[in-house]
Amino acid sequence: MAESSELIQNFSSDANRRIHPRHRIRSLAYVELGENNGGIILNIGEGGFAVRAAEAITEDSLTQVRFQTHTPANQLIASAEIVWTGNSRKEAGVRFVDLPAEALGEIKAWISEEESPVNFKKPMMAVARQTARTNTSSRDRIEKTTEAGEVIEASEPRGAGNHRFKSSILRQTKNEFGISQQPAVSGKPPVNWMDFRIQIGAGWALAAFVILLVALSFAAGMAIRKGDLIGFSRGPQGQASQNNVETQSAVQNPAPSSTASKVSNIEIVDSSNRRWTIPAKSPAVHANQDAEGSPPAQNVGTDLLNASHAAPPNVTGSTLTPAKKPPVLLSLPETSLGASDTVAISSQRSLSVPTDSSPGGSQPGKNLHVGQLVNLVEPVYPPDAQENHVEGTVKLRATIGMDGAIKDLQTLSGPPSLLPAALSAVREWRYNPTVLNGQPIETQEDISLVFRLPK
Amino acid sequence: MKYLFLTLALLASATAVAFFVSRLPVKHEVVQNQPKEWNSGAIRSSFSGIQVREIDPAHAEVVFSYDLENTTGSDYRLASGPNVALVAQFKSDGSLRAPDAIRIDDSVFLPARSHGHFALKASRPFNWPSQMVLGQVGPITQDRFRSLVNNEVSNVQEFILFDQSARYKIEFPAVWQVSTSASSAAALN
Repeated sequence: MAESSELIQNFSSDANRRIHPRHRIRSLAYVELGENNGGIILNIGEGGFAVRAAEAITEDSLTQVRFQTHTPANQLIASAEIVWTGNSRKEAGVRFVDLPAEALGEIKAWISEEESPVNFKKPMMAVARQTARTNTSSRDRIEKTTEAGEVIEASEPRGAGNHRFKSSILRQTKNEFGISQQPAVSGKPPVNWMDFRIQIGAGWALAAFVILLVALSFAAGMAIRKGDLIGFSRGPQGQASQNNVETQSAVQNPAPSSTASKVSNIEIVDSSNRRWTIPAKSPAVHANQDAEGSPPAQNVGTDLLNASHAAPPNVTGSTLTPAKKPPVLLSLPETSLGASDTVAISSQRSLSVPTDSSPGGSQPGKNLHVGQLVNLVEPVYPPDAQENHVEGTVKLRATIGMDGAIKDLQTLSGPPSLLPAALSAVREWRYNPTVLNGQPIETQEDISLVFRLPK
Repeated sequence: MKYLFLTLALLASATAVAFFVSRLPVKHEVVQNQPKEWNSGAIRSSFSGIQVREIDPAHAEVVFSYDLENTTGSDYRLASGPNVALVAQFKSDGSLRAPDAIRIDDSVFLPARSHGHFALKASRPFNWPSQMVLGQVGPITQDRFRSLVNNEVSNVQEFILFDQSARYKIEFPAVWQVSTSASSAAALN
């Protein structure tokens, strides 16, 4: 501490005698004092500088000093002399001798740079790099010397010790984040506590965000496990999944039951393929329970035509009921159309006959003339089906137009490999027009084509 | 201090991402182990009619006919086999039970977005009326046929066919209304 007081006194007394004011160097500036000594510049002016040397300064004059300014690439070499020394002869005042104008300009620029707090980072880093390149032995000596940091701390000459260097690094870091660019210059603590609180607050916010992120990730993971996120489970379901998409609307709107089918009848078919149709509900039940007033149904038939389940003729016993009557679907007996070695064809015609309530209109099909098949094209057994030994029955439903041509053809069942041949052949069929009461009508025909491999 | 928080944030984020990603394969395995849902809209059916066919003088076959519609964009073949199960849902308790000796028709091929015909058949002992006059069926005989059908469907809400291969569920609604007169029911068979 005594050494420190002496140093301060020297600084003060020198300041009174100086022509050029001295400026404290906030960065760590190393100066070579001759060949075997070196030190840290404590302050500098246009006329000279104060230095703390690693070893005691014995000479009164120096041949030359070498130090680096704020510009890393520039090293100033100047002649100098010792103006004063401390008791330990490790602190000294050095005056430049015959300093060139260029070097003087460089020193002025350095001083100006040191005075500007904004440009504080650049020279400090430059000096730090320069210090790292400095002679190791000299640096060690300097660090040993500056371990008596209280002296330096009290007088605030910059860059005088290892711990000060670390402090400068801390301030530089804060400058990078823009929190504090105010360098500590006097007795203030090196860390701005307000800034530190700001850092802590930002850190907590960041930590809270991270915790929130982790919580969300955990929730998402649990949701996936529970299957709430359906999108993740779509992939591996394959074609069925595709079909699910295709039939989504169908799933949402299940097939409505046909209202016509609710009026159900039972068709009776005996071994001779004779047909009857009876109502599903007993007439007695109709009479007793059916409050809708619909007439009880009975079966009626003709020699050739049977009333099918589309609507029962409204006959009770022998009494005709004059009422609104829906069209009656009349079916012809199944007939064989032809057979070859490989294909047997049979069909059953049906037609919708409107009924009326007039006395003469109660017998459907009274003036009916069913058009006959005039052009039968037999299907060709597909070669690939033959090779694969595919046999089977293809059932088709054809709608025959009023002109006798196939108007619509629908596949009911059959082996897929046989369908194309059957469809292409039946499409070529032609009929004479079916005429009812002088008017051509459309008819329907269920066609069975039995494919058998030739033996 | 700030670097410390940044490092912690990165570590936590990486942990969270790793946790999230690690859950996906687990879900994938679960999905593979879980059966796929039944698709009940792919094949739609509508009731077409009931038929009683004579097999021989002592047996009859009850045929429930349906129109099928393939609503998908893929061809579909419905054929009996180990992967096809036909059950009946009973009205009494809603349970699913295998119907007694009801079989499906021959294989049905339904091209994409097309219609087809399908039938469920049940063979039952039945004394076929020996003297049925063509064009006329007496009321007692009618009730015998109705009773035959009614025995099959009286407690059935609907038939359901499960195709386990395609995961299709085809519902055959029981929209029929079969009833017999009380007087004639006692005279059946």
